[in-house]
Amino acid sequence: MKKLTLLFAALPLLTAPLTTIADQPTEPAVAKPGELIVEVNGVVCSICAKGLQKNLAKLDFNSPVLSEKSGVKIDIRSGRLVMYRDPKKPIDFDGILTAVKKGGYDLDKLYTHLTGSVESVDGKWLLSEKAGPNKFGLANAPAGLSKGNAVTARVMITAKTLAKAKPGAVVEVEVDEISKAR
Amino acid sequence: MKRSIALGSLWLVAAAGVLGHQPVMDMAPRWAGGYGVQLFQVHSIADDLRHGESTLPNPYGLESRVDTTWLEGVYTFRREFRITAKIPYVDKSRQWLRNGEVIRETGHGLGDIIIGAPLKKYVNKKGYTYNLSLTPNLRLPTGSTEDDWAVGDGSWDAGLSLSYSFETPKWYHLYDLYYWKNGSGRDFDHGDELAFDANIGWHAWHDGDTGRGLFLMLDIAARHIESGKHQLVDPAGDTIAVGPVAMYYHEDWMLKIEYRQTVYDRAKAMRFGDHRRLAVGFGMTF
Repeated sequence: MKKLTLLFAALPLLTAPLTTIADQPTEPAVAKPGELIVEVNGVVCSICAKGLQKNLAKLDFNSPVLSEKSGVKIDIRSGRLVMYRDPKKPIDFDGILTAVKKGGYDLDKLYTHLTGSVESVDGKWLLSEKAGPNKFGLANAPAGLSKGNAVTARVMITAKTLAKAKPGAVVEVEVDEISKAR
Repeated sequence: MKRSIALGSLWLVAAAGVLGHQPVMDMAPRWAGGYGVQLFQVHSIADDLRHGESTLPNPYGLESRVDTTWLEGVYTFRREFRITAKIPYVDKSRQWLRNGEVIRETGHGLGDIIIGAPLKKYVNKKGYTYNLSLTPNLRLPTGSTEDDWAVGDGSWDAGLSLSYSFETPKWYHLYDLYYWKNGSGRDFDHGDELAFDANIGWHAWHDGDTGRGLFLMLDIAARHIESGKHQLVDPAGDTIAVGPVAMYYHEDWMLKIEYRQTVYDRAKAMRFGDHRRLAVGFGMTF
């Protein structure tokens, strides 16, 4: 009995190493036009993330597509939720943070694809979306571009940046890729 | 580091004795305002007699059968706090010896309702999530004490569970250490219980496009039951049972099937062997 009890009590320790294999990719997500990819820490099970999925689907800028009932698709292998946004509506960053928190998780990063034009205001570069009111600050100056250039860009926004952002202020994004629009 | 501390703590506590119980739904719903219901049918049967670690002859063919249907519900206020309720309906019968004669006893009806309030601390990281849960429980004396083999003992009972679960896209582990302090009953008392449950699971299949998937788990349950008072059959002793669990899910509903077979059984006094158990559950979250 003692041996059995010891073996049983040691189970958590014996099996713990198996679970330390966190096999999610670390490469940046590649957002396609229209997509907003929400990368969330701890999303490893689709049933568990149903509330998060529903919360994100309720956001005003979410634009459901026919192929997805809620317009938000979960990928547990990457911990990412893909939603489609209406570029005519402002992205509700506070809404995203609240949706993730109330969904039981913690936001890591956002990825999206932008089409618009760049301008420089007080030495800071801004990207204004062509189709709507969204404006973003660029963390790094875009090489080879000048004011007024039409561009397409893939950008990333970290949860830390959103937490620091003042209400109504332009959110700063890190540019993964930017090029002149054809 | 925190995970090591949590595992180490559980190991220390578990080494002292062991026993177990499982929350209504550990994995979901973890979102604020989420709720879930689960119907769980448990069929258990024993047809062997035990005393100490020995199996005794059973010339009269004595046996015990317990069927319990659980209606379980959970409501999540926020991820750190849930309320759970478990409502059992029991139908059971057994044959036993009294004064050298075989008697048959039955019991059926609403059982003792269990109310729980899990407090959870979640940690979410890239590729995994884990939580530590402390759950106070109260078992209400709603079960009938009238039948030959009474469904309830008429007592208020208090329970406390400490559990730890860890999930990655491929693995799921749950360890649950549980203690029930049983109050004084009307005509007889159930003894106190200490239990430890472990679910070691593999997320065998997941289809992201349709939201379907399958978990396969190994369930290990150890129990230590103290002697009660004035019981015809004293269930006291130590048992360890193991068995497979399969859970299929599709979007927000899930189907669970589990079987448990005893691998170790030490009876304090002569009693039935630990029951073989087959359970089927269907649950939904909203």
